[in-house]
Amino acid sequence: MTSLDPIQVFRTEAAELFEQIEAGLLDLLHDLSNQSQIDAVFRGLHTLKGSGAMFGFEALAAFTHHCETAFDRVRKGEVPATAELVACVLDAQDHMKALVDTPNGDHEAAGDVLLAKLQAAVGGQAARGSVVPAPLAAPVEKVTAPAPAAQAGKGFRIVFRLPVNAMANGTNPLGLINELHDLGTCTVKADLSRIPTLDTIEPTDLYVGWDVTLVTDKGRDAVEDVFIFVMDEMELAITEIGAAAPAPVSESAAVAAPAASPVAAAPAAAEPASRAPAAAASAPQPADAKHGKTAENVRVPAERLDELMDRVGELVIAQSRLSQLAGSSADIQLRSVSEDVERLSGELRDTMMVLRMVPVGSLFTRFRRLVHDLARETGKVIELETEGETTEVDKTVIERLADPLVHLVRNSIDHGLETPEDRVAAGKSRTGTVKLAARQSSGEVIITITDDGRGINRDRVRAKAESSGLIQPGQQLMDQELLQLIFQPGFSTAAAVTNLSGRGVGMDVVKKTVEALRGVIDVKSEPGKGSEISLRIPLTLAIIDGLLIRVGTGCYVIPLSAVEECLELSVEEDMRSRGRSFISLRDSLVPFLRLRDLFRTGTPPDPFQKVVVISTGDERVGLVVDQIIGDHQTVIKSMSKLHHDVVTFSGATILGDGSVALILDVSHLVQVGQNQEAQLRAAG
Amino acid sequence: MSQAELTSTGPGGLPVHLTIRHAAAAHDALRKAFEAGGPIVLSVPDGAEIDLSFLQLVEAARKQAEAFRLPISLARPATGNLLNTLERAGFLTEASPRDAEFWLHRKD
Repeated sequence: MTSLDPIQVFRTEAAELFEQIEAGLLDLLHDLSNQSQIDAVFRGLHTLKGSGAMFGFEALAAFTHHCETAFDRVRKGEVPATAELVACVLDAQDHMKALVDTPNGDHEAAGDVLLAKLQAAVGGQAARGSVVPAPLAAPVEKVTAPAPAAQAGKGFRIVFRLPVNAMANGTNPLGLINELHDLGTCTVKADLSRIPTLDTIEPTDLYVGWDVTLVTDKGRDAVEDVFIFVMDEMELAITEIGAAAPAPVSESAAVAAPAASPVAAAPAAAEPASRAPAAAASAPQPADAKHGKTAENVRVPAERLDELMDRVGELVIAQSRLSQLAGSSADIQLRSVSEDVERLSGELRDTMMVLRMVPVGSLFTRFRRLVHDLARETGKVIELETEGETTEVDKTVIERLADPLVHLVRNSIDHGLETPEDRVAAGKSRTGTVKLAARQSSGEVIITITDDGRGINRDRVRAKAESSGLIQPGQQLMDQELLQLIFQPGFSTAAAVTNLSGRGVGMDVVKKTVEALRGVIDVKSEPGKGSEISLRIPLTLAIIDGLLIRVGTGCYVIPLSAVEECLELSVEEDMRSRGRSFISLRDSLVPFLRLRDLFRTGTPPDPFQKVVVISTGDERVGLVVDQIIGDHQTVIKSMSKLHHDVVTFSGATILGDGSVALILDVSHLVQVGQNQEAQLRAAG
Repeated sequence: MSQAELTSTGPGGLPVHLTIRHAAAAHDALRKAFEAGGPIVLSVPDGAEIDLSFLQLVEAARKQAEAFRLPISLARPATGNLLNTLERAGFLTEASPRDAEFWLHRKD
């Protein structure tokens, strides 16, 4: 197993910081006097600058310094927070991202433009401490960047606490800290939380602990050697920065920057660097919070989770084989062991599933900036609402849904929402609303994008579809079929195409992506009131609980989460149902499909047919099968490209005897059943 | 209520050297100052020897002062050995405004 690339670790950290900064900026727009948001943005910028310098991203550190200085002035009340400043820093943040992605790129000219804007946003409103004209992009990195060893990105976070009697026994804690200083560049933070009041303190006892960030070219052994004589009795945690979140940055880097910042001459900048730490933000530092988290959390690359998932999948298949062997054996002990392995592999699988789940809020957060930018671009007034952010979804689903959701949100804003004037004329509020919501239902996560705009113009969709040959002129379509036409490749109504559209992901790609995730898209739209697009995606893509059934001589798996109930199809009911394919289930008619007919097995039916009632949302359908074998942990294997067009099955799995069982695509089958019902009803 | 100014100059006040060897004496001096019940002002000369034990005692005194709602302060901002020891011990890193005000007389 290779160690993590520290640069990659920084990039991951930077991405999180960007999210934090962006969220703070967007929140600040709603309340420009919100001091906690101002502090949050400042801290985010400060941490980004310090971490950037530590990992050798000097241009990033230098550029970020100017934004940080701007917010420092806001924080200190020297200049007010304005929408202009927030917009500038949002733009500047995009530039910082570029500096992280391509640190050696030619970014200087773009940076200068942004800094000039920033200077105008802050300098023009300076209350005290005039803006010092200075060359843009001053070489802050000369000051903020640590020693050469630091630029190599090697470092340790050392958290230690000596025994209470250490000082009384002659150990000088500050001597140990001095030795750490000798190894490289240190940031030392004392933990004073255990110091009692004067009445209860033992004056020679030691109550202080330390959290040290050491940037060094020395190895771990050198660090451990510092504590060699006290190591047995002390609390000591040494973490390579490459294996954990970057440590807190030296505050001195923040204020020791040259006063010739283009943004402002920060008063603190003129003060000795040695006093700089006292200028820290009043609120708790995010870096502290992060440190608190790193003690309990471990950052693991996603691909390792995928590898682990594969192994668990193979284990489940092996366990299935073992269960089958044990089932056909009279050996009690073998059966007992098999049951234990089955239980353990099931628990392992469940644990693995939880590891892969990510709150959908991490996806939704990205859209705040998108909506903000689109509002500026289109001149529309837009409110983004989110709901169900804590709903958890497989991380792969989150990753793959990002682009389609961007396109859907852009589409809602561009095509759906009206201009403020049009909305007022239509009797609506000036502010249009786009809502992102997520919820779980029957083994699926349902993500909806709703807008209160003008709705989809069905006449235009039909006209476009007819003119492009997607449907015949005058062809009868159900409403959902008509609305689904917007997902056809190349489909767009000419008047609807703007510069917001066409960033490489079309509506057809949205559909393909969702279908690749074994999901479906539902569209609802009401003229003048808005549209709702729902993406129904399976909660997980790797292993599911399945119901193993037999149809003819083949075995198939139905996702257990979709199974509502199983019942026997009596001979009478079977006879009565022929020709209409409905069963009566507690006073409601449920359409059913005879899988034997659907799969053309060519085998005679078993004497006692079974019906498995499955559902998606409110829609149900019964599947007539020959035999219900039982539950089965199903490791989902993708279908080959040859079977890409097969819509009845969503994947395949390997059974205990090595044979392959196809996994039924529940959504598709329900749709087939519902269509069948509609046709029969239409036929009277 | 009279102000107790504890100077590191000898009898009645803080020890001349504020190290672990004199920690018990410094502790006693501080406790007596609290018993007097008035505001406490600590005066530490630049040349005084200082180690971690004294910093701990001052922090303990600050906690007690907060509990007793008694003002406690340094006669002047930390300089010399005191400032040096504070920095080496990491007491000023990411210091809160209250800490900065106490040790450095800096009002953020």
